[in-house]
Amino acid sequence: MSRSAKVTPVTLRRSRLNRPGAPVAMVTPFVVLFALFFLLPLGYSVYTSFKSPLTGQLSGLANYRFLLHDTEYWQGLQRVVYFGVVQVTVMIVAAMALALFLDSPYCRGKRFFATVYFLPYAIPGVIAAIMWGFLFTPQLDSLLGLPRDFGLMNTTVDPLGSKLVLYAIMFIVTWEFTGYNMTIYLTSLSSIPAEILSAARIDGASEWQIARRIKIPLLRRTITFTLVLSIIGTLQLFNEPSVVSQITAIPIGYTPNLLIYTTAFSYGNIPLAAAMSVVLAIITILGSLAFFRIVRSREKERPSRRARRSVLAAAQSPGRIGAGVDVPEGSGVR
Amino acid sequence: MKHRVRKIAAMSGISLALILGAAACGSSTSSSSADAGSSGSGTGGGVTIDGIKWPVYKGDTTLTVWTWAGAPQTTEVVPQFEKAYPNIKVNVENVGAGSELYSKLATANTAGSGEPDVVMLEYPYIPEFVQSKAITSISSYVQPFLSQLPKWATSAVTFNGQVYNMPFGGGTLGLIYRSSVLTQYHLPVPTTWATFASDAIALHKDNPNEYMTYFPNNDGEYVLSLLQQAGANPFTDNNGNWTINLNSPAAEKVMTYWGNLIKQGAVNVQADFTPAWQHSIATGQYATYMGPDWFPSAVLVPYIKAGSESFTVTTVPQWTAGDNVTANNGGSGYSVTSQSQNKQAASLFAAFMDLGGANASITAGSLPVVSNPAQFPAYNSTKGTQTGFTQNLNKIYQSFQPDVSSNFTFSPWTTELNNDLNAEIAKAVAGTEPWSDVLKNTQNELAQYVQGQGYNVTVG
Repeated sequence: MSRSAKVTPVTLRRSRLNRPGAPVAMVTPFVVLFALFFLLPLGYSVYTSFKSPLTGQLSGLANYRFLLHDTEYWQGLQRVVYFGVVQVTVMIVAAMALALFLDSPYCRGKRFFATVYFLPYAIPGVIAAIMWGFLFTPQLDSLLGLPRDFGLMNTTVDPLGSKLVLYAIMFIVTWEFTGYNMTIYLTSLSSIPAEILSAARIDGASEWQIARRIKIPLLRRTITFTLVLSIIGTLQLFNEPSVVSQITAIPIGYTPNLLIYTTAFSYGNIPLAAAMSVVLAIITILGSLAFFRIVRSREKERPSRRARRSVLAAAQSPGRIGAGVDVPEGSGVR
Repeated sequence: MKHRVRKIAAMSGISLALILGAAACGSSTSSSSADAGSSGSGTGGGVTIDGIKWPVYKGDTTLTVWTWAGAPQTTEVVPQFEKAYPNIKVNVENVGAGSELYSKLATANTAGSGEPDVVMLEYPYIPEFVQSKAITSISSYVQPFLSQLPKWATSAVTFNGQVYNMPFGGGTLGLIYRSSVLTQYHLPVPTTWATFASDAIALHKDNPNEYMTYFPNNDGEYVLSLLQQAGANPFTDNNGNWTINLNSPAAEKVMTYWGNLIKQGAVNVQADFTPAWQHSIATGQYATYMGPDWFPSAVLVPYIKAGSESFTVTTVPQWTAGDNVTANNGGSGYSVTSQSQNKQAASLFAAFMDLGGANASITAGSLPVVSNPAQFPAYNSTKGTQTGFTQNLNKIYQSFQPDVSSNFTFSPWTTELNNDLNAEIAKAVAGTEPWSDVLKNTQNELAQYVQGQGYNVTVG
């Protein structure tokens, strides 16, 4: 913009009009890449899902009709839904508790612990699953024999046995992602204007009351955001069960993604795998939309309670999902 | 069946190749770059190695080979082949072991280009690629060599009268037992499955930490080999019309047998090729193993301390006293792709890896697939022992080869079958399904899937 000094607003506007291609040129790289690596493969998957696996000819809804009766697929889906209900709840509650604790005045060494809790996320999921897979093998981990040694159980605890393996995977995923969610919450918490918290303290609110009545409500959007990401992540669960399947015996249709992978690359049945992927994508999209709608309708249902929090409402900014809260302009408090 | 990759990687001793394989897939196939015959200057073959005559091949050719085999195959036998055929250059590419190679082959086949000339395939997975026409018949090229192969091997690679593969590694089952354990508990070496069962019950009663053997809940191929040994033949191919008969009386007998031993706790249910399994082997929890010829070097030797154990190999227990039947678990060979422009040269290569390389294989401690190994000098000059074994393993496993049940066909759906079988076995182990239903339910699952794919299948 070296020549900007000479350019009047009028010429600026005209020059923009003279080059109608500029916005197009700026958007093109994104649109091309988006079309090439997202829309095109997506469309091709949908197209492939209508093909016959054996002849390669278009066969209408045959793959979808087969999928409708494929109990393995639906059982896998049921399993990840159950997984999501239990694991996501535990993880979000734990992440929120850690974040509130680190954000409270009682906490010493806040930065150190924030880094420590975040570290598991820095470890690739595959490595984490291998590590926990070994730690969960009774023959290799003497701690698992403790309940038996103290006479509490007849046998060694076997977390990778068929009854507990789902919970073992939940544990691994929780271990990996609690710190990640905690970091997001902590960032949002640190952007709550200090005057709100000071006002609450002056009013005599305890730390617990501040956490419950101010911090958590202000993080509502952030929580919604992390919940949706976690739900999508759960529906696409793959890495951890895939690694664990090498260490113990779990069925190949344990999660929908594992079944899709096996169907495509072990069975060589790409059309059926494409149909499975399309159905999973539709379920994921519908699930996310339904979740957003539930959250939004709840927000509308409680106008009276929200009115009481009018002070807070002023600080609440729509749209900024990641940060959750905007600092009011000119507050100068940081 | 991802653990299978671990097994075959262990067999060829190259687990790192799984990772390195990714580097190789970028290089292009150069199968047709050297036009066979046009220059006409090169001539190869016409030599006799270890009593086997290698035919003359004219023309300069380059072959691309996908294999995950390590030493001595790629290090010694490939150079020997290039010496015997100076006009054929070989590019060896490791694109990953087992299923990784298979998915790349299937992709190249669908794409219509990108296949190499020669691919390594395990026997159970050959029918899948015959069906999809990724590999081609090599009958006319390898006819002179077929008499060198044992009967089970030709039967394992022949479909509708055409040969689709040249075997180079077998997996003949033997019973590997620890004589110290059997002696300590005064148990007879089991020659029949009835004795094996009574041994198993007695052993576990005397020492609750010791089991006669394990039963894998993740290894359908192992279970299939037990069915083969009992004389079951679950699949029949009649020119593309398949019959599935998985729950024949012979097969049901096997399932009920192991189910009973598991219910009594006399046999340990354990996922194989896992750290827990290796630990059980290392700590001597098992008295016997149904082990193929690759088992001692790939599974036992790495996990036992030298001098701590002593193993003996004998014939697997029999269903009828006095019989002598065994089966196959694992094993692979080389096939020629449909896209290859040099099918004759590729077939010669496939045959050479077994027969031309037999001497080098025996020296390196692995048994080639041959009916008369005595013609290879190394067979008599090497001791053929491994840590913990005093027998000549080459000779003892070779002696089992004629007894492999050759009335056994693999289907084009080996992976699905294994997965369905594992799922049903898991239910039986958990007690949610009787053992007598395992094969029936597996058959129903498989038939439903296969018919859904449009195959013409009769459930027998």
